[in-house]
Amino acid sequence: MAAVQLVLQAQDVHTYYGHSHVLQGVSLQILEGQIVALLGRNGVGKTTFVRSVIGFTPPLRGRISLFGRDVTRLSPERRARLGLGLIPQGRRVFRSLTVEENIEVAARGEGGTSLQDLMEIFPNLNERLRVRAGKLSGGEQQMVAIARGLRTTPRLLLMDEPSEGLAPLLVQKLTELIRQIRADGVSILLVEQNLPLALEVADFVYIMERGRVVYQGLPEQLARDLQAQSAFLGI
Amino acid sequence: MSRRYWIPAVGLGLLFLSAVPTLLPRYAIDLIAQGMIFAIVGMGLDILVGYLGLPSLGHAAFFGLASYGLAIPVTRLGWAPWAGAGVGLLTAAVAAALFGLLAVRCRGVYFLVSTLAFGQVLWGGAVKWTSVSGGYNGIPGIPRPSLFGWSLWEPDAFYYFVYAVFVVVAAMLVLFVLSPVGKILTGIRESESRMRVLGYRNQLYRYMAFSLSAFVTGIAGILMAYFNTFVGPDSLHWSLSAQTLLMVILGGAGTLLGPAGAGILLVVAQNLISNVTERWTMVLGLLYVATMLFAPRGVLVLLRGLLAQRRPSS
Ligand SMILES: Nc1ncnc2c1ncn2[C@@H]1O[C@H](COP(=O)(O)OP(=O)(O)O)[C@@H](O)[C@H]1O
Ligand SMILES: [Mg+2]
Repeated sequence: MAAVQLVLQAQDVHTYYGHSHVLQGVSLQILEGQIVALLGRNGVGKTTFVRSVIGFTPPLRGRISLFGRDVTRLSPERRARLGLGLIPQGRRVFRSLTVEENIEVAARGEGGTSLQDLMEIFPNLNERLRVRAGKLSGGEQQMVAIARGLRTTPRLLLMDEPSEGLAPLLVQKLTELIRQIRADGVSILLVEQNLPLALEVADFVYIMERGRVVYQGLPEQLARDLQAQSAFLGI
Repeated sequence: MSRRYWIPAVGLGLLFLSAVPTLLPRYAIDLIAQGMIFAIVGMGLDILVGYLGLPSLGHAAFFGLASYGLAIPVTRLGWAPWAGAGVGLLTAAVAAALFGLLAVRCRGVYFLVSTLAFGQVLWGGAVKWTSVSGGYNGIPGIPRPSLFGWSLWEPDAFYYFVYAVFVVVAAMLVLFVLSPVGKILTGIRESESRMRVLGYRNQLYRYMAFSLSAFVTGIAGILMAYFNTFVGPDSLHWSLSAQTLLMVILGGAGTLLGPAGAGILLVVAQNLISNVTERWTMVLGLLYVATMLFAPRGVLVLLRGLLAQRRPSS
């Protein structure tokens, strides 16, 4: 029982934007070494949940624990230092820094997945290390954002729709990459709209609808549950 | 812009500056020495404006504080000129360390207003506290020191002293912005939240950069006090802060060498134009408007763009 550790435990999280009650009691947990997928249509509150875990929009009610420690009142930078990494939605790179600087700034002087190892994963970035990230294509920027997330060597990595806008070939690569990251001992919260990708890699699946978790189960279970797919994902 | 252009350009610039005493008349030599002093202020302020995105309207405070910090012990207590320079720099650094605690919490227009208020409070103090500061009359009779047996009263020696300080400060700041810390500052300017997610304490870096910026400005304050052998409340006034801010914007915030060049050229231009017309501030205003219209990111960045267009292949 004590052998398996909870890397993330969110209990009854209520998060607001001003008066707008966006998360209405979300509970979700991730065990060490797991890939947990969080699915749901646009605007149901997935990113808001990610921001609550990171600490940008702390919940007004509820509790968030990381690695067995209550972090509900902790600042984002303190949470990051505990081993929480983020690959934000929408290719957020530092546009005026080069590819190399974008990745190295994440190292914060400590260890981590080396630049060399990252370049083996993203060989096409290798030739562009000295190029300003603002000049890259969308797909390349996404790669930089992912590489940056990995450079910190998080224990838990939050990925907010990493496949958004990627060409099918790159999505395939992303699938392999997510598996590889997990094999290196990193737990992952994978926020996605791409159902096949999520079903392929996830150990457990949550679906949100209007700020609540409306479905949770094993991926095989959801793969067979066409009714849930059409009701919550519009498929 | 590729190194192919700016390394020769900077080299030529430095070469020219080093030859100024042999090429130009006394009047022009002094003017360019003064320009290099303002160039130091421009680079110091650019750390704040260009690398942290914090426009200051009170940077003259650190300039003036260093000058007064030098002038008061030297003229009133008979301290040696070098010791006075130490006191001046310390005064600017301590003021920056204290005021920085508040300033780095402010953003945008709040930063502008708080720095403006800070500068004007000190200006008011210098005007009112006559027994110490000499009020509007300021403090005359600041002596220049000697360096390695060279008296800095000797005009050429003084010019080369300013030149050496300018080159050293510029080199240090270039190394600073190219260092990992410089990249962190750029990251903070682009996105505070992204840096927080990476675990950075942004305020700490801001504070450090603010202090560095103020200290560099203090160095210029020391040089200016030696240059004029005088300090008055104008050295603290917001109009001086505004001029240096314009200098940074005209030269191109975030380019370091752009504001340095603008500092030298503006001092020279101010003198040339003042001979023709009284309305220097109007000319400066027009320059500013023209820059905003045609080169909103500064003249250096405009030049970069033009050079890049002439060379279509990367
Ligand atoms: N900064 C914000 N201020 C106010 N409302 C917001 C903000 N960001 C998102 N919302 C609202 O919160 C809800 C959830 O958004 P979000 O978490 O981004 O959804 P998802 O990531 O699932 O697409 C949406 O109705 C959205 O309009
Ligand atoms: Mg989202």
